[in-house]
Amino acid sequence: MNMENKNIDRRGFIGRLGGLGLAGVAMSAFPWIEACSPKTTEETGRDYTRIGFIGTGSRGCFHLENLQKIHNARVVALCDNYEPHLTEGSSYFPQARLYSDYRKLLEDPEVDSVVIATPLYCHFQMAMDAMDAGKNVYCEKAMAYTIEQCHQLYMKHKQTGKIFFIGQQRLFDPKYLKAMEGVVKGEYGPVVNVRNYWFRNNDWRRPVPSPDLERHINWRLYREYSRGLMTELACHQIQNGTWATGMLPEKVMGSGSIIYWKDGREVFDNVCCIYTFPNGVNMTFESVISNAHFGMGEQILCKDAMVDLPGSRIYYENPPKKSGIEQMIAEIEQGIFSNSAFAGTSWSAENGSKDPGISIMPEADGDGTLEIMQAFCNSAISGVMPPRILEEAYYGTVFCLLGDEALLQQKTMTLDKEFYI
Amino acid sequence: MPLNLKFVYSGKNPSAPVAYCGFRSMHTVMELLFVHNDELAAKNISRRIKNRVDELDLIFNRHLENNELARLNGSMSPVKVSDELFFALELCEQMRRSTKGYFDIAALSSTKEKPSFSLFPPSHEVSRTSGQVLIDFGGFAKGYAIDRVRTMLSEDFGVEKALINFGSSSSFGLGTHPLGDCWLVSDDRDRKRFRLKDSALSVSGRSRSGAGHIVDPHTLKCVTEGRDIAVTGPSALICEVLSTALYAAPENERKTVMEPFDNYQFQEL
Repeated sequence: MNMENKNIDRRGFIGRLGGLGLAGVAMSAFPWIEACSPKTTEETGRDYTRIGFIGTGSRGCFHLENLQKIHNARVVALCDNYEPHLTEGSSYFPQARLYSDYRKLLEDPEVDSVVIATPLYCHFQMAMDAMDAGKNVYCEKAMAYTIEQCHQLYMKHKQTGKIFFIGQQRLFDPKYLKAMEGVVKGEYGPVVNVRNYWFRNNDWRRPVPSPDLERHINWRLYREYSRGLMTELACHQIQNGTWATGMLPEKVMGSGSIIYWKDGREVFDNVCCIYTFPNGVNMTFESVISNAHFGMGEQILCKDAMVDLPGSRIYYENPPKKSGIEQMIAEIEQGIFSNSAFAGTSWSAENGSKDPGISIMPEADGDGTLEIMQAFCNSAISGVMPPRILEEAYYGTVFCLLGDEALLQQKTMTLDKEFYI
Repeated sequence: MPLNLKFVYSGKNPSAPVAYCGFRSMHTVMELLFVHNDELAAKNISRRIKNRVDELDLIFNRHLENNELARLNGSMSPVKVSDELFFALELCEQMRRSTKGYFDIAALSSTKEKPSFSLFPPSHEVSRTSGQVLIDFGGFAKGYAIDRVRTMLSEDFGVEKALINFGSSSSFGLGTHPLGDCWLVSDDRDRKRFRLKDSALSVSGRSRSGAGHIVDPHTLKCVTEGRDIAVTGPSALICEVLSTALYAAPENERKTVMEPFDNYQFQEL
């Protein structure tokens, strides 16, 4: 691998977003991006942040691979209490010191920042201890196991002033930023509904080398460690409603059960939640892991168009009577490098009536995971916490947890006032 | 503006002022999108392009009653034709030979006798070899027109970035999209995406209704099976010729058909 080509620095980070057509994005809608601007970078005196990495499982190793590409990150320590994972993690950074107890890693004076990629139930204590130890924290989503814990973590961040990121990578995904810009500006009319779904067809299990490791490896399946589909999948999507409407949900109701994978697991294998915003707009989250037909979807329904976030396409209610090429004019006006879908076999004089939608950002790759980690490193160096990013992540997790409460208690739930920040 | 010429200009994005023009010709629609910072000049370019394509339609459209192609298709005597039609016929005969006969502008004839016509260069006369020969420039004319338009844009008008679409089945990306590193074009059923940069795309197959319309010159039968064929390469004309020939050819003949054509790729959709 040519690491030189893979590296992205902070300037490259913004440039990359700009190159994807985000140069004209209204930064007021995404203030956390502005906080990573080259100007801010130049004002910082330091070159890199020294990272202690906690949790070197599959997600952790994905981050480690990304960290290899980030020139202002130095991974100096790794920690995992499961030896095979730690060995795997050390293959990315062989020089890093190895720990099996995260508290020892936090005592390491050469660690400025920690990345926490451990099971959900560990997040709270590890992040609290890390900030108490004076470390900046990047913690995988969901933020914590309970709403109370999320609130305590938020207050800890306020108290210590340490940089605190949650791995809500969609906040840095160019496709989402571009699509959300139009939604937030009202270009497609008012938001009337938000649909989120995630369908899979597998048991969600990881191979277990011996039975005594079942709960350790397959922690996602057990209530003691995980809130199941709500924290592992919904957490990525629930923030879409808040982002699109600029409001917080007022209430949530839902239903969940185990309908297929009756293998001793404790978390639901199918859930359906309805969140209602103060203006009456509903947002749904559905997940089933015994039928994958619909895959994953996140759709903002506006009066005049449906915005498909992961598909990066806009479907107008009344598609303009224009050919694919003529539509490109409007897209170029908006700074969009779009795909034109017209090539076919016939000598037709008009395009068909079937609306193929308009691509928002066909060239975008990745899902924001690299960018958010880069942004974290930038912030850890500059000491500047990007505005609103933690609040977005906080509410993303809190409303997933509230949804899970609605499933468990089988009643409509509202968020206690004390948890509004 | 000439009748039936749709022209749109937008300078809303100062870094990418664009002009669009669309007009009917050859029983379909030609569309162009090109980058130009002067609206009046862009409008003039659009007029000139339309006029040129209309000229070509007059030459290649066999359904017109009084053009030279109609005279050729209706006569058993040698017919003197224009330089451009003569050149096109020479080119078609060369393409027929190069594609092992799978591209043939006389494929709609009721005779398999080849060659279908004789060319007399000194006098620019053409004569059909039998009364059963029917010359039809389908599978040729759009690609030819695109190549002509492309040359006009870049050489006569200094346009560096343009996307040309003729009837959906033939297109050409001149330079790049003003905001990207190519022109992205996908087929209408979203099966494949193509990156065009100074290159063309042609798609041949059954029509959208599912009916076949390409005839295998060796059997004189309409090809009604097989997946659509897409060809990319530097010339829109050759792409169109090849996509037609490859769709007509049996699968095991395709590589042979492609052999003489460097820098061209084909794929099934």
